[in-house]
Amino acid sequence: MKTDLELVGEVREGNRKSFSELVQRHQRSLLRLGLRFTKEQSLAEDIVQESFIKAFQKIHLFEGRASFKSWLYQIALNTARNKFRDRFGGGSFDSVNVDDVPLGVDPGAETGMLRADVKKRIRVEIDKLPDRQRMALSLRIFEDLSFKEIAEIMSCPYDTAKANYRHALMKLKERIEVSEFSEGAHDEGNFVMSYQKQVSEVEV
Amino acid sequence: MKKMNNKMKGFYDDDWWLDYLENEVDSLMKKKMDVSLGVSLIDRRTFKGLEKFRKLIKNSDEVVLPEDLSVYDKLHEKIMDAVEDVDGEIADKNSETRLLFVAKSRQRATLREDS
Repeated sequence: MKTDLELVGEVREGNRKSFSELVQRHQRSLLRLGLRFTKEQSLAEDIVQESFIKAFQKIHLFEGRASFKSWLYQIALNTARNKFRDRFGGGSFDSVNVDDVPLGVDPGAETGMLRADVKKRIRVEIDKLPDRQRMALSLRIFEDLSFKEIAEIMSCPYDTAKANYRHALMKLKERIEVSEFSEGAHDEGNFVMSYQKQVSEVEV
Repeated sequence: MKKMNNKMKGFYDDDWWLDYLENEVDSLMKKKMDVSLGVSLIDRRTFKGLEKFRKLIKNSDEVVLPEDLSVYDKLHEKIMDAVEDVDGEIADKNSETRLLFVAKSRQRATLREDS
């Protein structure tokens, strides 16, 4: 199987089939990334399409210092940002209330282990994180990317990517644990019990 | 008692255990921390707590990719159609540039001849 870099070389020589192969390889992960930030399938598909077109147009600028995947993710994140700006009037990811954005996927299809209230609570806390921390956390935990890839995507040093991730995780842990011990602090009366139960049930 | 427990410390702090969890420690450090896991209850709790919390976040993921494979076929087709259009535009632009270059070269040659 050819590497991404080999395929990129062929695309530069005018081979469109090689680009088709790159699309096949990366469209799923890009769609997942799009869904994560937009929550809407049609919007996420637009992001994927635009990102690949931009990648095709700018492929001569790809230097190969970062992986093709990282480069593509970087383009996709910028495209998603611009789309959000157009759609929600100048706001960033942070200023969008997730609950106001329609879901493009059926929540009933999820096979998660957690109860809805705990999941929701965690998602709310993730959405409250600063943009770069949230991005580092999402790319690491949900997209399973290495810190090297995250650093490439976020255009920052390796240690900064790690620090953003660490701050995000520790902040979340602190917030969730504070919630855990402050009974009555939430509308969800049995959140505390639910959280504790779920923590103990998680298979490690 | 609870307070005392809270004040007790293991050999390594959260940051170290997070690095351990993310495979970000070198082999020598990993060996040292493996030993700690075996002997220190506090370290074991810290590590397990982080490990479980990370898993909890992972399980909170709300994104579900469409299962219907035709979604990806259609998307792929759409992308490649758009790429074809873009490629055509690039080719047109290139040939325009080439034509312009040839025309300008001829113009320069004519000017030289005239002078």
